[in-house]
Parts: sequence; C-alpha cells; structure tokens
Amino acid sequence: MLRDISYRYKIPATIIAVIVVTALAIAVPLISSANDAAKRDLIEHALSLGKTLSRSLQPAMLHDELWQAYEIVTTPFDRPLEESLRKQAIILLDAQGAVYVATDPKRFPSLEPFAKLGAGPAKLSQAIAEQGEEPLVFEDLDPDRLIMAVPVLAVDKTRLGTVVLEYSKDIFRPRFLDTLRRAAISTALILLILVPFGWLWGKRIASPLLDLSAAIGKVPKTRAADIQFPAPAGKDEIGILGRRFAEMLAGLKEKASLEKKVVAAERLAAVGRLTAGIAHEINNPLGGMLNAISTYKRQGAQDPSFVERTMSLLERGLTHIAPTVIAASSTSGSIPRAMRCAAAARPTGPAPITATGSCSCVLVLIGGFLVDYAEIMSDSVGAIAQQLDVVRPASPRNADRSSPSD
Amino acid sequence: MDRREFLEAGVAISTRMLMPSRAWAADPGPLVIGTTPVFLDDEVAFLREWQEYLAERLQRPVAFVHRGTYREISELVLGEKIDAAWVCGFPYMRFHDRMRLLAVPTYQGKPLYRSYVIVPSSDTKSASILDLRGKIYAFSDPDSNSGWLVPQAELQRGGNDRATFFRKSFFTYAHRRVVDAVAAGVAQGGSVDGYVWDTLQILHPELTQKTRVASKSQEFGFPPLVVRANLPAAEFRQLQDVLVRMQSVQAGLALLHKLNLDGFQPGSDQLFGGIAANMHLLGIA
Repeated sequence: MLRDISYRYKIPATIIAVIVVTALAIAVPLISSANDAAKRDLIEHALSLGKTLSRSLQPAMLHDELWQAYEIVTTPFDRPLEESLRKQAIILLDAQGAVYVATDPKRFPSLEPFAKLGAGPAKLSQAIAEQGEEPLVFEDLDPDRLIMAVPVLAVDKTRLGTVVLEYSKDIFRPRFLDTLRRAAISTALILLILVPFGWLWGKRIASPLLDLSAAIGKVPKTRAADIQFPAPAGKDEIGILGRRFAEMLAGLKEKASLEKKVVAAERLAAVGRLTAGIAHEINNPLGGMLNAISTYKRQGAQDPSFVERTMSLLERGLTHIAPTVIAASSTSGSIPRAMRCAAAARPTGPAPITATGSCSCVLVLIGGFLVDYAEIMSDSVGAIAQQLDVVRPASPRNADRSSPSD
Repeated sequence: MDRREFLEAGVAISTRMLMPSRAWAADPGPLVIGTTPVFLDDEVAFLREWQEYLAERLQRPVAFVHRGTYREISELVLGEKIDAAWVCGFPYMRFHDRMRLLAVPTYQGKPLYRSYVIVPSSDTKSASILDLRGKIYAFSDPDSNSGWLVPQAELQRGGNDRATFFRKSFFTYAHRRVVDAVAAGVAQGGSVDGYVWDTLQILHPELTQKTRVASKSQEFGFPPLVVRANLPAAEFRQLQDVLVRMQSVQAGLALLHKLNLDGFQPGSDQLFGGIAANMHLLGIA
C-alpha cells in the first residue's frame, strides 16, 4: 500500500511524520520530567511543612491542648476547609499511635487508634512504630496517595507523636495538566511552523525525482527527440541519475537517427542491386545485338542472307530484353517507349521485309529501348526516393539529406 | 482617630499598664477597655467603629485590649491596668467585690441569655448534655458561664462524675471556636453562649448549619461590662451614660445592630443570681 503512494506525498509526509515524532519525543519526556519535578517539589514542601508543624505542635501536645493542635494543623489549609480536604490531610498521632487530632476529624476521629482505620493506616502505623527521628516518605503505600510521616519530638528527643501528611496524587493533576497544556501549545506552534516548511521541503526534494519519473514514463510512448528533460545540476543520487538519463536520452536520439540512415542505405543498395540486375539482363542481349550489327556492317552488305541472320539475332536479343523492360516499366507505370517506337515504325499495311527496312526498324527499337531504360532507371530511383521520403525525419537537416538528388 | 493618635494611644496604654495604678490617677489618658469572646471580638472593623464612636462621645481616646482568655482580662481589671472590660458573668460574680458593674447588654428585650449545648447536625438524637457521655466535648473557657459553668453544673446536677463523663474535653477559649470544633467534627458536642451562636447564625449561617442546638439552658444575666473598682465616679457615669444612650442615637443603634444587641442598661447584681447558684453548686467561691 505504502509502496503505491507517490513520492510527491511520501517524502513530505515522511518529513512531517519525523517532525511530529521528534516534537513528541521531546515533549513527552519533558512532561514526564515536569511531573516528577512536581512530585519532588511536593515531597520537599510537605517535609518542610511537617517539620514546621512538628515544632509548632510540640507545646500543644505537651500541654494537651487539642484545639490549639487542631488550629495549628489546619493553618496551612485554604478555607473553606472541605475543598482542601479532598486533596490533602494532616493527621497528628499521639505517642501511642492514636489519632490526637486531624484536619478531617470525620475521617480520622480523635482518640481512635490509627491502625484500626484501614489497611493503609495499619501499614503506616507499623512503619511509624519502627521509625527513628528521620521523616519517612511513602510513595507506594497507597496507590492514590502520597504519605509522609514526621516525628514530633520533645526537647530531650522523646517522641510525643507523629505528624502524618497525606496528599492525594490528584494534586499533581492540575499542575500536570498545566504542563501538558503549555507543552501542547508549544508543540502546536512548532508544528505550525515546521509542518508547512517540511511539506515544501519534501516537495522540493521530491521534485527532481518526479521530473525524472515523468520523463522516464514517456520513453516507450514518445520519441526521444520529443522528450524535454533538463538534466539536474546536483551531484546527489538524483542528479547523477538524471544526468545518466539525459545521456541515455541523447543516445536514443542518436540511435534513432542512425537507424534511419541505415534504412535509407539499405534501400539505396536494393535499388542498386535492382538496376544492376536490369542492366545485366539488358546488356548481354544488347552486346549480342551490337555484335550482330557490327558483323552485318563488315560482311553482310554484300550478302543478303546476313540481313536475315542479323535481324534474327536482333529479334532474339530484343525478345530477351522485352520482359525485363516491361517489368521495370510496371514499376514506373509508363508505356515503354520502344513499344511506342515500334508501333510508330511498323508499316500500317503488309510490306515485304527488306534489309534496309528491317535494319532501320531494329535501330528504332533499340533506340527506344535505350531511352526506356534510362527513363525506367530514373523513375525507379525517383519512386524509391519518394518511398524514402515517407520515413524521412521532419527536421530540415534530414530533409536535406533525403532529397531526391540522393 | 488618625494614625498618630492611634500610636499615641498605644504608647499611653503600654505606659499605664507598666505604671503603678495610683500614678496615672491624675492623668487619666485614654480609656482602655478589655474585650473577651463573650461577643464576636474578632470583628476588627466593628471594634474600630465602636472605638471611634466611644471616643467621640467621651471626648477622650478609647482603646480596646484583647487577650487570649477571660482570666487575663479579669486580671487586668483586678490589677487596675485597664479601665473597663466586657467580661462574663461568672468572673464578675467571682470578683464582684473588686469590680463595678457598668452596664448589662439587652438581648431580645432582656438583659439575659442562655447557654446552648450544640452537637453536629448529623447527630439528630442527642437532646441534652447528658446524652453525650463518652464523647469528645468542647468548652469555651474555664471562666465562661455559658461555656463551662452551666454544663458543669448540669452534669453535677445529674449526679455525674464531671472528670470522667466525657472521654475527652478541651477548651477553645472562644465561643465561636466551640462552634468551629463541633462543625468540623473535632468534638461531638460543645457548650456555647446562646447569643454568640444566634449572632453567628445571622452572620455565618454556613457555619452554624453544620451544628444543631441540642438543648438550651435557663436564662442567666448577660455578660456585663465592668470597670475597675477605683475608676472615678465621673468617668463611670459618663461611660455608663454613653453606653445606655447608644440605642437612642442613630450611630449607636447601627453599632448595636451589628452587635445583634438591643442596647445597654445599668443592670444589677440580681441578674447574676443563677450564676452564683451554679458556683455554689460546684463549690466555687
């Protein structure tokens, strides 16, 4: 599926995907880090608060001033108290592990043993019982709450009680959402700038490839001479490929030109072979006829029998030439001049054959045949040249080369 | 009173508190009045208005003094460190030979008030303090009639051991904080000045609606204003007159309205007979 998508879209989409993934890869760890930092800040803040409360609660616990202790533990809370209690609670335990006072007395009633208030408080009570003078942090004791325990110590380090600070992990949510919102806005702004830039950049990268692809796509259907492909200037792979294709295109053009020349040469050779064959078919009888005439001129004037023999030889020679001339004339489409001469020279009525008459008639026929021969050759060459014109390229250079004079 | 006058008054008060009582008899200086949580003395803006009102009528500076407990204010009066104080009827009856009754507020037409036993609104069954055995209980102040003497007398009359009746009890040192303690659930019951609870119901109903009045005591003399025993008679009469006339002056009436009181009257020790009876019941001299 992905392989069928054009690089016109694939490259920009890939760049955008890389930008988005990069932005997310940066944003997600930052958000996670911010969340961790928020948790660390809260723990530090809570421990600091716990230590302050511990010192403030010391006289109240020593003098058993429950209300004073309540006012101290509720001091850090915003009013109305009920809204704050959903997020955090402070429980002051006495030295025996019972609740002395808590910010949420309905959940943690005073004087109740803390360990009996649930599984979480039971685990916490056990940990507190083993606690030294250092504060404790419980991140995993309750899946929904972050708990810290700070001891309340008298001047002589006697343990008077424990301040338990309990924070809902939801307390991170507003800060986390705020961080998320800020990160989302920053990422969106970055993407707003980088995505169009990435798209244009991708298109620019894909452009030479698309041009090359379009040019290659034309190769089987369009003549190489009609394909316009400016070779790319770069030295990258597409540039190299483009230049190679441009060279290949030039080679195809040259090959096509050579093929035309070869076809023309082959046709000219065929004409040559044809005319040589015609000449051969005519020259032999013509040579015999010329010999017969020559013999007749030297010896036949005094011997009338030579006339008949000479004429017979000439007639045989002409009879031999006639099919060749007729076949050649069918190529040009003209009536053989020899036939027209013969028709013109032949007496209209019956006449005796005389030596003089027969000789002149034969000469006329020979002359006609020679003229026919010349015309036939000319017409044949013209017809071939005309056929060559059919395949002649339209360019002026080739037109000149394929002129009838060739 | 501008800032300069306020600072001068502060210096004068401090000086007078440090000096022997006889030394400032010749130079009365500002009239110093101590307040206790028998009323909502944490309403600072109101106190400033009342201070200005009194200063204007008395033609002398007036300063209010706050302390954390009733006992501290009582001791200031007894030690003649302050001129007057708004105290509870209980300390007045304990030290009535060393204090002079200046005026008694009138509330709902009478110079009387009640002590309320309040419980959380979720407690719909408790009908008296005797139903709160084994609970955590909030008292106002050990020198408060409504916030300590009345409930103690009630327990005593019921034949209960006051030391063990409650699982735990504590003092909040203010009636308002008793309401806070019961509303928050720190205590399952508490004793509070009925006038303070009624006034809170007007000013802060969101707080009082978390509590329920389980029972009301008999009527007792309203917490009075007293003066030191040696306050000159002219000053006594002038101050008493200003207080009693408040209900007939528009500005004074507005202040009384904010106090949720009808006015002041000279009063008499007979109003506090009920308190004396409870003291006698509990063996308090």
